[in-house]
Amino acid sequence: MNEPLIHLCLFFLYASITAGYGIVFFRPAVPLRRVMRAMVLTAILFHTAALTVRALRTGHAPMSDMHESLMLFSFCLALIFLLADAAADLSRLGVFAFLLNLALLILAFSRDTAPRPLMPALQSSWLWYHVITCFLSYAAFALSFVAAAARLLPFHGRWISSVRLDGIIYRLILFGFPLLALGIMTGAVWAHQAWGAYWSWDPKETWALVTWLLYAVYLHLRVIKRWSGLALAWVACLAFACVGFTYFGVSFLLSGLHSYL
Amino acid sequence: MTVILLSLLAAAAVIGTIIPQNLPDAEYRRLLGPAVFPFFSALGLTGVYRSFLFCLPLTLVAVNTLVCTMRASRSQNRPLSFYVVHAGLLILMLGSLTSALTRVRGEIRLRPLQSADTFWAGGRQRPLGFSVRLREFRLLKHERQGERLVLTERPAGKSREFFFEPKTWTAVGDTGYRFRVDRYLPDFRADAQTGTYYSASARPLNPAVYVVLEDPVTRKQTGEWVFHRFADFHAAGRTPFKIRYEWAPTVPRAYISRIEISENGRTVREDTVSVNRPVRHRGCTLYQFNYDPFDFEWSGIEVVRDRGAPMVFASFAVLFAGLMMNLARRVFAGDGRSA
Repeated sequence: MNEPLIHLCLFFLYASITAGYGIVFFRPAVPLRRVMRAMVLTAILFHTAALTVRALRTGHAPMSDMHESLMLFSFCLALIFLLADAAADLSRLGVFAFLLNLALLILAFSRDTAPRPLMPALQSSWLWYHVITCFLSYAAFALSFVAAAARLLPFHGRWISSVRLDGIIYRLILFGFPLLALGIMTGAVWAHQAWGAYWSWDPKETWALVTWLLYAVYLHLRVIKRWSGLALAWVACLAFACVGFTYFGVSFLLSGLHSYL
Repeated sequence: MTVILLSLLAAAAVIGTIIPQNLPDAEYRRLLGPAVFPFFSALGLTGVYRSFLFCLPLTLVAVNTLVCTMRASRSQNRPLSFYVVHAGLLILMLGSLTSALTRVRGEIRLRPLQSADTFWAGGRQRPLGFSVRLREFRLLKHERQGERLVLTERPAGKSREFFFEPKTWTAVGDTGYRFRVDRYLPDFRADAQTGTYYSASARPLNPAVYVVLEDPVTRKQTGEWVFHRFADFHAAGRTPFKIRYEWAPTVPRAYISRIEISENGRTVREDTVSVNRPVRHRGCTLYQFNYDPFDFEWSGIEVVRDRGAPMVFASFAVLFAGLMMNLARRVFAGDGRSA
């Protein structure tokens, strides 16, 4: 199958979803929200097919370089949005979530898409467990960031209440936190199997830990110290900035064992 | 207090990613200047994760976790998930401390048929408790990927392209000849005085391979260096083929060592070590760590003994179970503000 054509279809599908949620933002009628959920589900199924085509073409898991990981991140973001929307109605945040998704896709398409053979260190089933759990957590945190950024906007109350936004941010982080823990743990077990050391203070490992610690700070502030409101939203934004640095910053600015991503 | 300590720990961890760690002192003096280096060294910034900057907040986090857990058990109505998560964290810190204090890591370099019963770690030789012998080392490449040789029959005859495995005989079609690549130098240099060849750096600035060609009739082997950047720079007419070397970045598919483990002079085990497939024997784990990138002669096997690793992995299970219990409880409890 023609990968550029698949990418084009995927982009237009997500662009349509973004436009649709733009309409939902101003007119959140229930029938339209149902249509959008169906479109997101369709996009996820198509995206699954795209990832499968990639895996068949390369002969390995579609998550071994920056292009593939960005495609996976986009997939996870759509999936987590669909689940979260079904649980807590995030339709008013959909346009922002899918704008972020489009940005990820554009970044993915701008990278070198040529398939590369897998180096020996990546030839393990741990690649699946480690990378998927990490990106599911990143997706949950990305949505929490969207909600936190909305919370920080002074006029957000016209469309979605502060209490609802605080609850959405909290639940998304609560969901992503054990996933990131699992991602770090599976990475440690894999590193022990591949390199003989479950922790090497590699920049990617360290920044993932820093990200986890910051989300732990958020949860402690919320649950123990009973914080809420703008201050907590800023903590959520700062923690997501760490997610961004863990994923992009480390890959481009700091070298280490994860330098293939 | 927890929030402050976690933030300090995160900040200390970040420092270690910004400042290069564990370089030789001379390298730090060059990077930072002789006036700044002593200050960095005294603060432990050149080895942050062993310094007080990191170890102090980590110790305080451990103490704080223990105290909070004990206090909660006496006076507060905390759910089970709270205790499971914090127990997992305490076991994790204990396991990590055990690793830090007891872990031993070293490397053995073996050529085929060579054996070793000790390894170097921490500046001294340590006994393995058994003997390891390398029977064979193989470097496998991905099919039709990377560098290749093009052999053209003289004069101006048929050309054949080969993706080759180092140290492996490859037949040249139906000519009866076969060739083998014995050596690779990424930045070829020749020492005219000693007549030796070496690589000036690890970067592929002047890649060259040493190709041995075997005559099918006489079995005579002729070797020559072939250069990627200088296609015509080799002995003209000496061999029946003009050889062209086309370098390309090569990602190995696998590097595999077949080993034999002996105890008291008796072979007790034969096994294969490769990346992601270590071999465990008598408390040691052997990893395929390295190989000779130039002559493909030796295999680097890493030896690790880590008593803390099982404790750390057990803590993962406990910690994750606690986090999932907490998530499930808060999902069913609604907003979940209450602890």
